[in-house]
Amino acid sequence: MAAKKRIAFLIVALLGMLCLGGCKKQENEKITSIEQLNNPAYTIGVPEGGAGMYMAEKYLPEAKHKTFSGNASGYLAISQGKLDGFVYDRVMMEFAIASGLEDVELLEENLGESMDVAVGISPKSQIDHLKDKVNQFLAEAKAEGTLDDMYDRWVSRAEGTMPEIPMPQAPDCKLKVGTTGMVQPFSYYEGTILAGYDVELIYRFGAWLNAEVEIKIYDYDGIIAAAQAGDIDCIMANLNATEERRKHIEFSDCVYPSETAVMVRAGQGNGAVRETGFWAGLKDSFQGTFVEEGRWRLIVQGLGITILISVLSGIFGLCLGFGICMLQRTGYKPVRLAAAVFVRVVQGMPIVVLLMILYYGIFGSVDISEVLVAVIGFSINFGAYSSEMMRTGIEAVDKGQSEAALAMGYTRGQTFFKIIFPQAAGHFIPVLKGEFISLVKMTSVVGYIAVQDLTKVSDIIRSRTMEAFFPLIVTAIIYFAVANAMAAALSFAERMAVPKRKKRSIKGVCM
Amino acid sequence: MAGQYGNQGICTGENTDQSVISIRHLRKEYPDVTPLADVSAEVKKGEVISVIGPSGTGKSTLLRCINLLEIPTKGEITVDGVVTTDKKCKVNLVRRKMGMVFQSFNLFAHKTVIENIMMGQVDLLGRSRQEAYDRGMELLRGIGLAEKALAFPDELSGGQKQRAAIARAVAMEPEILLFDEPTSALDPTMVGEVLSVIRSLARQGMTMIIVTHEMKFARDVSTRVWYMDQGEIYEDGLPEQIFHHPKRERTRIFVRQLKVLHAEKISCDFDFPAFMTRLEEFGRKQQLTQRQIFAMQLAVEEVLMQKLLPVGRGTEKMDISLDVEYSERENLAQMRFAYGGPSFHPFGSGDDLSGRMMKGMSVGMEHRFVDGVNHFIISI
Amino acid sequence: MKITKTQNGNHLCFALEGRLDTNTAPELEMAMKGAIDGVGELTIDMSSLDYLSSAGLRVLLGAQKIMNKQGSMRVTHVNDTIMEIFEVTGFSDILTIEKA
Repeated sequence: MAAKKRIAFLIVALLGMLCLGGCKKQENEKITSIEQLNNPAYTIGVPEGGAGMYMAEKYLPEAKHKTFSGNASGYLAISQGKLDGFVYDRVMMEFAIASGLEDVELLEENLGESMDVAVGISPKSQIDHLKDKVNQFLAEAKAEGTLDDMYDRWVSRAEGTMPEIPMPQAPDCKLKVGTTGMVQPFSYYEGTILAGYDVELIYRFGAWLNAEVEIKIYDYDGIIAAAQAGDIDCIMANLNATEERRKHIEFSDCVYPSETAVMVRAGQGNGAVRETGFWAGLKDSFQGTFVEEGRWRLIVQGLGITILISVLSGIFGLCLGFGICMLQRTGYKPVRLAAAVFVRVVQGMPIVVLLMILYYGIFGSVDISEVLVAVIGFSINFGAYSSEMMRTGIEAVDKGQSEAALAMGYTRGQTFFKIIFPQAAGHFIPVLKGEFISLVKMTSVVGYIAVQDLTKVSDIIRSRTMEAFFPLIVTAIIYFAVANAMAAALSFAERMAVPKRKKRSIKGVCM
Repeated sequence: MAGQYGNQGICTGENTDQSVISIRHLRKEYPDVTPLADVSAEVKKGEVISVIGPSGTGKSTLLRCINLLEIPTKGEITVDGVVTTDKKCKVNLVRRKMGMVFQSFNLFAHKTVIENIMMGQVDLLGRSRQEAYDRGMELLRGIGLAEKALAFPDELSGGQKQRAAIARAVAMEPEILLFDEPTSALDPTMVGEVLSVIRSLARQGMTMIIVTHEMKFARDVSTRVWYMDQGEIYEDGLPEQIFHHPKRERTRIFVRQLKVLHAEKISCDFDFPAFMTRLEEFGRKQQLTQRQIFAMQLAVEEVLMQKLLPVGRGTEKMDISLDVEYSERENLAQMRFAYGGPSFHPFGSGDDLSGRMMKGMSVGMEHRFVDGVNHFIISI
Repeated sequence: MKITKTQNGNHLCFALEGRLDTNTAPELEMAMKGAIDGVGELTIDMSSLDYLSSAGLRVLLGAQKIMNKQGSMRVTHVNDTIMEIFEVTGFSDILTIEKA
């Protein structure tokens, strides 16, 4: 008893310390200039690969750098005091603050020079001379004043509404464009509709080119790779034409120049205003996450994708697993070996890597739906695991069972399906259930290959509401509910498959 | 060897049309052992054959080869006129003619008892579920298991499982039933119920091959007994012959459950004290009394030291060997001397001291002279 | 076999220990030869004798014959098994035996 108490006390104490440590981040003096940050005592966040990273390396070499893959997580880190500064595009950060990002402010001065934002061009695009066409379009749009007008509407005045752009009735070709959907005012979701400067640009270019437009949503870290692999023809995602990126893809002429700014923690004054009640805060969060702009529809769509991928992968994975399991039971050694190697390789590979290989590698040049790629990837993964479970389940069935069936005159096939497999199923279904639940949760990585599942959707919403926790907790609750619902469904299936011990009866017989 | 004895069964000489199974020079090898060296045999309709013998002599392997759960290395098996060892043979069809009952029951664990019995009838014999059910219940009633029809195998006792397994085999209406040590995995209290089911099948004229260790049962129920030893049918005969008048040495030792101590090439240089010690150890191990051990030692000394060795001195041809056999069941030890030379009864020359002594200490003595070899047996 | 000889004037005692069989009987025969000359009373103590075969019996018989001429002989401390030997061979009638 005493020992238990002591352990409990230790855990509580440890948690408390963690909390304090987390909350009581050292209160450095207020930062008022960029020069001040160029000091190893300060930690600055930089976005992966963009202008911010370039500028920070050039002008703030002394500070400690922390790399973030997206702006949203950077904002979160600085508003929680984990960072002293965050280097990023000025316009985007201004919009983030306007959207409700709290406790932060921008330094007046820019970090370094302005940098070109340009259209990224895939070297593998099917459209001939795409770069020239983009440049020609940009030149015409500039000359007509369209670009200035767009900038004025979206950025300067922040009146975000998509104009009606007529889509071509008889398109000559298909134009696949990558964007992020996560940065206001360039590319973001108004409810379920993609909007913003870049999005308008995409449609205008599509119309100019007389092409059918397909927009794909990527993270910043996946978008260059997608263009490189030829999954998309070009990128219109507020992308800075850095030297580093030019090594991988081509860039058009400048669309507009961007400025890099530094976000720092705001002074005390801001904090006091925020004192709203817990329930009121919760209500606001709920409002922002679900109701505003009809965002719940986005969540429903994401949930649908998650369930679709899970269920299809579950079904196909099971079939594949059964197939592999059968191959491993054949008498032909090379086949058995190949199946075993396949299982080992898949089991030893992180699912994200497998998805990337499938998406950018194997299906890189094939026009294939991302959801399908995800289903294929998770089917392979689930197949490998379920084949192992089936195999052990089958091996757990006593050899005497098949001998008895064979001796009665059943063929090998009949013996397997009538005697062995039903008994093996009793062994492996419970384990498989757990594996399927983890499959559901694993699907949260499909955002890497431009699939908008539940997790990705919650990221998108977070990028708009600038709220840290509520969407995450909502997502967690939804996953929990989905996983449990599916577990219940599987348990039901299990009860159907395994003979009911309580109910003693036989079918098709009058007793 | 096997062929030589394979023709001694009761049904030999009749035409082979009635053969349900005929086995020709069957051999089964594994990389490290050869459980079946060379087996030839015939099984006629209605025969009940018990297969007995020490463990590891291929009894189960023979049964498993007959229904091709093991693929024979060499030889030919014909079942009901079909050569099953032929590559083109439809194994599953032939197996339907043979029911198999296993030591470990092997009831299908995921099915109730009645479903176990119905399955094969429905799937393989094409009966309707109702027919299969009626037949199954009839069989279950016959063996007193009707009330367990809806139980799962793991809810039955060992004896009940084995009875149900027999019913499952019988339901398929096979030409022949093969029993692979049907009672070896059972508690002694449950052996009886299973044996009585097999007995009643025998009464109904079912052709059966039963691998068993139940000697009394084998003697009572079978029409023929195969004694298997070292991968062959060492002796094949009526139960009366095998159990009471076995023709061959190893059969006798097995059926009488003898414990044996063997010595051969006994000569003047024989290490007599060492053999006396061995004899004493053997006696102790079999829990013989001090008096029995004494008498055994005395028999060895009087016969060898006083009679055979002095007589045979100088003649190497005597070639004396000795088997000491102890039957626990009869609490009887036999000292079986064998030696060459002319016919000679060690104590035949009248009333000498050694002879008087051995007459007094033993329960009987016997001398035979067969094929130039003296056999002298003292029972203690 | 171990033979312990004890002489007390006219009285000679042989204590036998172990096995008196074909191999060891000559030892006893040698030990007795000469030793029993002129002895009036001979005792064979069998308290530690485990085994006795016909060869041993013959030695005993020889001794008995000698002692019949010059005195008396007793076989003492005979256990059940050896007693049985004496009985089945009729030696119990010839020898003077004292059971253990």
